[in-house]
Amino acid sequence: MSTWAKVMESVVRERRPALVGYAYLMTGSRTEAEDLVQDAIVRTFARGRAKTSVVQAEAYIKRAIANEAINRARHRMVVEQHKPLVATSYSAPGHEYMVSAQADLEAALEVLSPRERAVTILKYVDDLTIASIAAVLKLNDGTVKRYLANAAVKLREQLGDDAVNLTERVTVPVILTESRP
Amino acid sequence: MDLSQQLHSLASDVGNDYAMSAPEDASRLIGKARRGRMVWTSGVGAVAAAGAATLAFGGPAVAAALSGDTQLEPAGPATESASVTPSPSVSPSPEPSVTPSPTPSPGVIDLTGGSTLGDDDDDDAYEDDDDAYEDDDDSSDDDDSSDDDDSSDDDSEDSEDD
Repeated sequence: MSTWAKVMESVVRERRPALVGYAYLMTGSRTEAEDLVQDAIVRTFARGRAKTSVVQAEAYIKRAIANEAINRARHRMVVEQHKPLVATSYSAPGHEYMVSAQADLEAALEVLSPRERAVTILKYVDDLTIASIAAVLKLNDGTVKRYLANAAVKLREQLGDDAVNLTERVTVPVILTESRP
Repeated sequence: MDLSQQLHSLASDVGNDYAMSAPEDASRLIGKARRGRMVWTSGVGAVAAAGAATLAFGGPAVAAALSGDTQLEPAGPATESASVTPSPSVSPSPEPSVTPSPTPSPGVIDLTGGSTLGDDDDDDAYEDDDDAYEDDDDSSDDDDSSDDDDSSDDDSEDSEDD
């Protein structure tokens, strides 16, 4: 078995559940997360230079997941916009769903746009810097900051003011002194 | 619990839940990747072979032109001077094989413009070289697509394919 195949087998056996969890944060759908991870793993090893370590491959797969999640979400939004309106039956969520704290978080993430969601995950889960997020998503630094700020506002509305801390904002103490003529 | 911890917890829960029923399809995925890898390699390999062939066939002509073995002169004046008065400066050794430009018969238009074979070859060679460089660029793009730097590019293209 070649090196890349061994690395791929290790990724599939050891890191796949974590990647599915990561993809779930990006997509909000378990089924889509599984599909996304499988797709990203195969695509990562199907082309390009062989990945020689699990860490390297996982980093690449995560970036692929982030970008693919945005693409799929935007595609889904376009499809939804052009879909004819059809009456659907309303089903109230169950009690377990309502009381779960994670359900609140998932509902809050659903409010975000695909890119806002992606930059939020990349920042708060991967601990990436603004510049790194911009590099992963091929965006400008200012655009990433704007997405993060918008996401923070929406998440605060959903989860409360204490939920999101913008660590980029550094408060600088200013001492005012009287000017003497 | 801050947002980061909540997100980590959610991802961990989903991952653990998935791990309970994760399919054992590693070999199937590896086979899938291997097939894709063969297609990808054959595509890039074809481009590389074309570039190598271009260099192999176009290279000697370019080398000959650059080293001065072949006379690269403007087509029109060279033919006229050779046909009217074969000057020794153009061809030091007056062998017929070196300057085989026959005198055009009156009333016959020389469509070739009196260009020598070397000119055409050289033009082709330069064009081929350009192609080769383009191919190299393309192949390097493909190579880069495997890099970490342009995963998004690559993936975006893939997503468009999807």
